Amino acid sequence: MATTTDTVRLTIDGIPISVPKGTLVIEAARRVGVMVPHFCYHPKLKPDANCRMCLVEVEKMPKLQTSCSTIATEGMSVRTATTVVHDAHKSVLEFILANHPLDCPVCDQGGKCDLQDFSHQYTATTSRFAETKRIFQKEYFSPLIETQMNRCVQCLRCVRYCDEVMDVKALAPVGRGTMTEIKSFGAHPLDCEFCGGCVQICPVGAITSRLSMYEYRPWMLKRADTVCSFCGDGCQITVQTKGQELIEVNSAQGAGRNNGDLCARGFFGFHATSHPSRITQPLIRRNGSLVETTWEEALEYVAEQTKRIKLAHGAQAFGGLISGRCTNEELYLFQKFMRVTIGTNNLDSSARYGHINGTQALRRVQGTHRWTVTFEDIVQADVLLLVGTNITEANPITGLQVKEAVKKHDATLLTIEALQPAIGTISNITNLSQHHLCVAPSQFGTAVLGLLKAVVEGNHIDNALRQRASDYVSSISQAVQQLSWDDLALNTGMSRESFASMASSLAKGRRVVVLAGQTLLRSQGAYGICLNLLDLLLVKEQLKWARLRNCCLAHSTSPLRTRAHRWCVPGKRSSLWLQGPPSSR
Amino acid sequence: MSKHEPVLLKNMLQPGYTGSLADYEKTGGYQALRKVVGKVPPTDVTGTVMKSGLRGRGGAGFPTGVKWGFLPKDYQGPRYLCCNADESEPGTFKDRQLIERDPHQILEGILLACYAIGAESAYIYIRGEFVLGARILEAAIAEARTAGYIGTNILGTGITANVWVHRGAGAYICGEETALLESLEGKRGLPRVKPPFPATHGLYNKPTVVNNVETLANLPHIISRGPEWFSAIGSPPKSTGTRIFCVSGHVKRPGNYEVPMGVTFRELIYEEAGGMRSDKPLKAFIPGGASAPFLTPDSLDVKLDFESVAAAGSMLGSGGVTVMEEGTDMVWAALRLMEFFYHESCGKCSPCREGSSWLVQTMRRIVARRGRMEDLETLVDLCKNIAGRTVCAFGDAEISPIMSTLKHWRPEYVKMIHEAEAANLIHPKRILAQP
Ligand SMILES: Cc1cc2nc3c(=O)[nH]c(=O)nc-3n(C[C@H](O)[C@H](O)[C@H](O)COP(=O)(O)O)c2cc1C
Ligand code: SF4
Ligand code: SF4
Ligand code: SF4
Ligand code: SF4
Ligand code: FES
Repeated sequence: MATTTDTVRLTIDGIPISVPKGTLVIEAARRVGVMVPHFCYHPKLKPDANCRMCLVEVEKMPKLQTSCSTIATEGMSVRTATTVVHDAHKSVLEFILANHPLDCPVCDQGGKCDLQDFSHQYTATTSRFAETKRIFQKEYFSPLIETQMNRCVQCLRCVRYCDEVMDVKALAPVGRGTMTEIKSFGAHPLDCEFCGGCVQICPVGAITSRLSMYEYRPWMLKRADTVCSFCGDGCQITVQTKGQELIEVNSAQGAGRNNGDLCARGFFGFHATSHPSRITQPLIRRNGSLVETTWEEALEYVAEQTKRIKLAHGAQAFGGLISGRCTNEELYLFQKFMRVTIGTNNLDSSARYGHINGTQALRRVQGTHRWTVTFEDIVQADVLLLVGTNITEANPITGLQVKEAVKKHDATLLTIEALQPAIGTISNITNLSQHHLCVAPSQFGTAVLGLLKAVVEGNHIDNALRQRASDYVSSISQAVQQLSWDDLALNTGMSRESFASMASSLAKGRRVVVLAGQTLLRSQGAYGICLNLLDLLLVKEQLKWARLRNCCLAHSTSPLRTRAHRWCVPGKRSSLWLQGPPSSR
Repeated sequence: MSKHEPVLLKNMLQPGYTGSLADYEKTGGYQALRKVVGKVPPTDVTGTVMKSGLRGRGGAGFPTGVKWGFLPKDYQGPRYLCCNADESEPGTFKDRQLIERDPHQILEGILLACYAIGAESAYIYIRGEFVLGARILEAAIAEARTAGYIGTNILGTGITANVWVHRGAGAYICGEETALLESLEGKRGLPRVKPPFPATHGLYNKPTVVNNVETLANLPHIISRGPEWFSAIGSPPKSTGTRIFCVSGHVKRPGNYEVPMGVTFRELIYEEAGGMRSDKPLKAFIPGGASAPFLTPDSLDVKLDFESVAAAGSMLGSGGVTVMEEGTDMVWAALRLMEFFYHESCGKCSPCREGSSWLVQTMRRIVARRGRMEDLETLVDLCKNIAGRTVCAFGDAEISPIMSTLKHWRPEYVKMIHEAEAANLIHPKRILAQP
């Protein structure tokens, strides 16, 4: 294998492998098919090396090293299967099991538990622990999540996930030593986003879902991969059933664009399917009241009626409405049916509501209405501007990409949202923002104009653009001159300085991504606001970068859902959209 | 009266010395700072410290100048100095005296270190229980600020050095340097995995130096009197300067004694501390705080320097020398320390978290005459399984009382177990079913 300066070569149990610089030894081992036992390590989290399960021998190092925190270096020789390593694994496991209640028969994790699997692999059938086991008193935890802290191996994965990935910080270890217990942060039952992440990431049965408590053993379940239909993020989920019953929904690490992360709707929302007031049978209205019937009868009835109406009144008498929660495929079939079988173009969907304001603006400026940002673009952005997204609620998984960009890659976050930063155990994107303009949805447009004015007047316009498109630059400069800072301040409650500091942060960006959310797209004048956001990107000359992104996007996957409101804007044509002074808006 | 000339304790041994700024200045205080700040390049200050051979007094004995040299040279951005005043090691009480009786000596040391490493902020992380010490430091900082030693323009040089006091909340582990940093950042005090080391990723992920109070207190003297003067004291080349030893236990005059490194334990215990309390023979002593393995009278002529104590099978550690006379129950003594470690294990890593509770319970059982012969084997095994496998050095520390007492006084354990067998109390294993 060719090595460049970006890769290092090492051997794992004698097997040579070349990995990118910065790869952890545990990951390098995984690549050659060696699974080093571990509890606290998780690819999504920063290494914490607390469980000490993953010890390996590294040549020239006197002590055993934790492979989850050791970075592979050139020429390293790692041994994972020597007697010394094996004994170390055994002894760490002996410690971890010392205070464990060994209640596998009544534990929901039984059969898919790391502790069970490793114990089976490493430990003797008897324990030499003859002391009193530590016991935590059972406490009510939350309506959806159950804990059994005696099973906890204190790997802190749940706490770290909740903080590092979710930015929620709802969990905390309390007490010290063997008395370390994972609790909700604060003396009250858990009050959080209920993303289920802690349930999914716990390697043992210490945190489990109450919805499926005591319902199953893993091998009883039938699994099917599908896509969550609750929002436009299109998360891949695995639906697990026992007979006719939906038992659990989860998402495997690495699955889908959500990479195994879910939100409350995805993880716990499946319960809605078995709600008693859900309609599960077709209904026909007879003598003024709805009566249950069979699918055969119902479809026949619809077909008859359709034929009758079409004959009597023509195809234009029909209109079709379809829910935005349906998949692209279903939406496609529906419009095909309406256009070809019925013969009308009268159709609409909640998927389009508001959304069209963004796509039309995109079409006008970049020539295509395709949104141009992938999750990777968000993660790699150095400046992110969020306008009216309420992203942690509306598109939680897109929100996770924003959180990752800010928390792990030090991106600068700018927000124009109708949200206040708040300390709590529910994530709030404005907590992470460097400059936040808290304005009412009715004033999003004014705030965007203020930002545009600050960018133009702060001399942040790219020089190349000035030369290449002097007309555009002078027209936009004149236009923003008409706006007065007093009016802007009056309408948004934000000072000129706030706009100016946000503008200078924006100006520093080399890879700027703008995310326009539902609240913006559904607000009045959204089309114009979108054009002004595109202006922002144009004057910032995000063209080069964006074009580059554009071409890779052209053949990357198109989002499955039509309700995702994400785009960034590259531009071909200039745009300018001012609807008079802000006060008259 | 000691025959050795004190350095760090010198001022406070003068009658009437209050530790105020005026008193400190009268004894030549802040002259070292005046000598170098803005005049001598910071790297030369580091060079001087390196040359002096000064090694950390916090426990590990790492060469101070070398530690400073690990900071990235070309890094633009803040760097920090943290003064470790968390002194919680059982049997150690030297930093407390330095803080309460001569705070400006420490502040001058802190300012010199700040200058050398280019830190504009220094934090003194002081043990929560040292309420008086914290107040004294705050007052001293205020005095030094007014006098222009601390602030944004120290001694008119345009150089910034601010010093802040941060009180701990009662965890021994917060003396471990990375746990200290976590705690300073407002988080739970859990040690970090190393590498990366604080020199590159310290407080708020910025280059940071953590030094012990006594280490820093040495700096003004090294700068004023020169590295050669310092390195001539003690047992050069590896253990230079004086050290304050905190002698406690069954001696006539427990207290802090500053002696050049390299004097023997015999001299420290029998001359400085006045010998054994009731003239019984000495049975055991801990040479460097609870984390250091126990030594026997055979080691009385071991020199008090880093290498000699290590060669004798223990460590100089924090300088806390605890002396035990004939008649002391060694199993009980080991249990007492194990109770401390059990109470203080932070719980981050499995071997220490679970191991400490297992060890303490077994020890309690043995002392309560409910032990069994096989327990001794288990104790050793558990200790070995903890050693070298934990996140921080606490793991290696907690096993030393048991390991060393088992090594030197195994018959005492055996005797207790025989007593247990004679009493025929029920051993928990008896009621376990066999597979
Ligand atoms: C469990 C543990 C507790 C410690 N407690 C202290 C302490 O209370 N005071 C201290 O100065 N160093 C303590 N240390 C040592 C520090 O980690 C660190 O090595 C020291 O502060 C460095 O300063 P020095 O180089 O000046 O000695 C402790 C280390 C460990 C592992
Ligand atoms: S937000 Fe709630 S459900 Fe999600 S990881 Fe945190 S505690 Fe668990
Ligand atoms: S609850 Fe689970 S994830 Fe959290 S620390 Fe315990 S074992 Fe680890
Ligand atoms: S983010 Fe959206 S798609 Fe993903 S689980 Fe939640 S509701 Fe479903
Ligand atoms: S060795 Fe003990 S004190 Fe140190 S990190 Fe591990 S559990 Fe905490
Ligand atoms: S997986 Fe490496 S220490 Fe836990």
